[in-house]
Amino acid sequence: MGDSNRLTLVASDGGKFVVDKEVVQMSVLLKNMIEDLGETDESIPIPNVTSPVLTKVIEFCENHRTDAARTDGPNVDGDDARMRTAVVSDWDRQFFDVDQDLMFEIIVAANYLDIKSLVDVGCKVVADMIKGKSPQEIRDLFDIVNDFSPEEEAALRKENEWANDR
Amino acid sequence: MEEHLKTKARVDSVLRELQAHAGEMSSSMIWELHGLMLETATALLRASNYKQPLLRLPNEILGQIMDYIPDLREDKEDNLRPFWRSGAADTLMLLPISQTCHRLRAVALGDPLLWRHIYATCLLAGTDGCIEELVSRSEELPLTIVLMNADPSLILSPKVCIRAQELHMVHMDMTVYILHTFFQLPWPELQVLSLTHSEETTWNGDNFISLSQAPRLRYLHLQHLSTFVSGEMPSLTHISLSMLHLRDCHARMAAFLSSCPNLVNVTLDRMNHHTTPRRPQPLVLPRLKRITFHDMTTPVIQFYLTVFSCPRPGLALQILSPGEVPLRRFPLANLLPQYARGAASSLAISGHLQQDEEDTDDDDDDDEPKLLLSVTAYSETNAFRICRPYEVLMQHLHRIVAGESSLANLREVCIVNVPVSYSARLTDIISSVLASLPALETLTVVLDHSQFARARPNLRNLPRSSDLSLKGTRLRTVRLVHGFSKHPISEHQSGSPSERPSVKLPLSKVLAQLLSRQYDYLDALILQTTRHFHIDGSDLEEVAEHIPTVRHETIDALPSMKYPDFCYEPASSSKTAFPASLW
Repeated sequence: MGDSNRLTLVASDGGKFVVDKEVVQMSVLLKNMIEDLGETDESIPIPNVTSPVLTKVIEFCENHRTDAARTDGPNVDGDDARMRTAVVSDWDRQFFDVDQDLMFEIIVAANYLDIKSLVDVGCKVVADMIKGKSPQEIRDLFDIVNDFSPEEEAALRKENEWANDR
Repeated sequence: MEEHLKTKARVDSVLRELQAHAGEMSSSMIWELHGLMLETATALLRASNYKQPLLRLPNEILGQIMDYIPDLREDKEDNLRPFWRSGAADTLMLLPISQTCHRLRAVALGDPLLWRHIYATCLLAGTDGCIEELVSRSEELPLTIVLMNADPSLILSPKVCIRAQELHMVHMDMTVYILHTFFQLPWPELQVLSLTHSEETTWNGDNFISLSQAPRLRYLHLQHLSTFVSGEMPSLTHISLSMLHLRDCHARMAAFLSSCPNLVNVTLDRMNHHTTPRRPQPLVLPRLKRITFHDMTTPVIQFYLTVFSCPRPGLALQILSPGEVPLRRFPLANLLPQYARGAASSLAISGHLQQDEEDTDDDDDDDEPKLLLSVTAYSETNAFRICRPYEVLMQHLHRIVAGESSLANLREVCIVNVPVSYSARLTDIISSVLASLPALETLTVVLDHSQFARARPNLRNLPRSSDLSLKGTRLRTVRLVHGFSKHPISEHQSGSPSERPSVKLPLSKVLAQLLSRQYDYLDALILQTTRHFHIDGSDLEEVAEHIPTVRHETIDALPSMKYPDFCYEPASSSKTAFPASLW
């Protein structure tokens, strides 16, 4: 038998990661799998996540392992989580200072693994990138082209009148 | 892939043939083909977009990203303060992302939750069709509406009113009659209402506004008004009244409060231009738990203390008087025994840095934050805080704290964010006050380096052996706590704690003080630091030569007072709270 406090995750490209169970339990998906498996030496395959992405996900979980008590606390007076976690810490911001492909793959992986705090931080970082930019600047930032139909363009012109009237 | 190459070659050939023979085609055929090609071009562009990383995200994630784009409305002009948590956001900030491409627009317009906030200025409200379109995007969801200097008649149709859950009318410029008319409409879902008039203009009229059509209203904030509300308000739990200008102001307010039997939290702010009735009638408000007086004069505070039947068990009271209004002849000496009834179990003397908002744009050197000082005491049944500029409150510290019977059994005191370097006189006074607490055994001194970066361990707050009043003291243990607070705002200001290198915290000052033999009565010195600091073992050994028990502990977060439940305000908004407010 190996160390019962650790387990092995296998990425889609075969990369193996030995991690503390406590760390990966930030993932609801993995937490449920660990509970279902019980004491076992079996590796857990993560078919949708490549090694570079899984490395980053584990890095995030290790850094935030002590946050659980804070985020699992009682939800005060309603569900407006935005008010409580409006600020992205410098560490989290630096964590997402990677190329866009990797950044979005991390968010997708976090969504698949059900790591709410990582999805949340990722979404805030992307939102901050978008805030204050014009449509064309957003297109340039994310390599998107204008693909609106003429009908949609007409609706946009009307909306822009509102924006000018603010 | 090979299939696609074949398709491309075929299309290429067809298009060249089309170009060659276009002149022979009829006009209708030309335009038909033109439309088809535009559709094809759009489809190709969309296919290209779907390959981009952002657009590969699932809709629910894109929706979550968009949810973070509108800024929560910041109360820069103090219009919503003091108020409770509000979700009011500027959803027009979603327009650029929704105008970027077809997919992002579909996600934005397809999620009614994103459009549940309406933030309308006067210009926007006057733009044809805008408000109707914005309202329709949120489908049937409850609405949060902010009207900034906007004519409500352009927005508040009965259809909108019945969906409004939160309504803030800021810088209103209308007659009481119009407002009165609006509140005749049904507001079945309204839970939060704030009405703020412009400070510069007088709002004439003396009519009451009836809120009987808002049967679920829980939070009410009125500021700068010369009108008031009337009627029974059994649903109201929180009320905040600020700078109201009414005839018979306090008598009217007392009458109104008597019709709110379920009040939990009352805030009264800067209403000092009116005389108070001579014989206030105490009200029965059994659920009342928290009262805040902000910048109020002594007669007005005393009037409302009687109205609220203070003191009584289960009540937290704070008198915040940061400077604008003098608190003359207030019976400070009786405060703690009256309002921290029974044996006070905890006492804190705390410093609070306050940036002078009016100085923020000046480039002179006089924009150092001011230090407010608070004294907080609580027992199992009551809590009390008073806050004044430190140079004012320190003169009364002895009268407030020293020798009070309610503090006779107090065993532990916290001194929070009062660095000895700030004021030698304040340090002396605190030291002297501590010496007069007969049962004091443990002193905890907390310094948050997010606010006082240069603070170092120091015993100067402690009474000295030569202080005569120290005779018979039971003070034996001191806990010096240094670190960075974990409040997200502090983390944001000071950088992530994990990114800061661990800094050595020198004990040279403590050692020099111990050599003076003035602290020989101490049995234990416990140094606690967050992980951003370390202490040399050799320093600890040197200190241990003077005190029997010396140890260093690393802590996750700075300690905070665990206030009784009745001090906890679940709906508080830390951004808009008064400086030094308990909730």
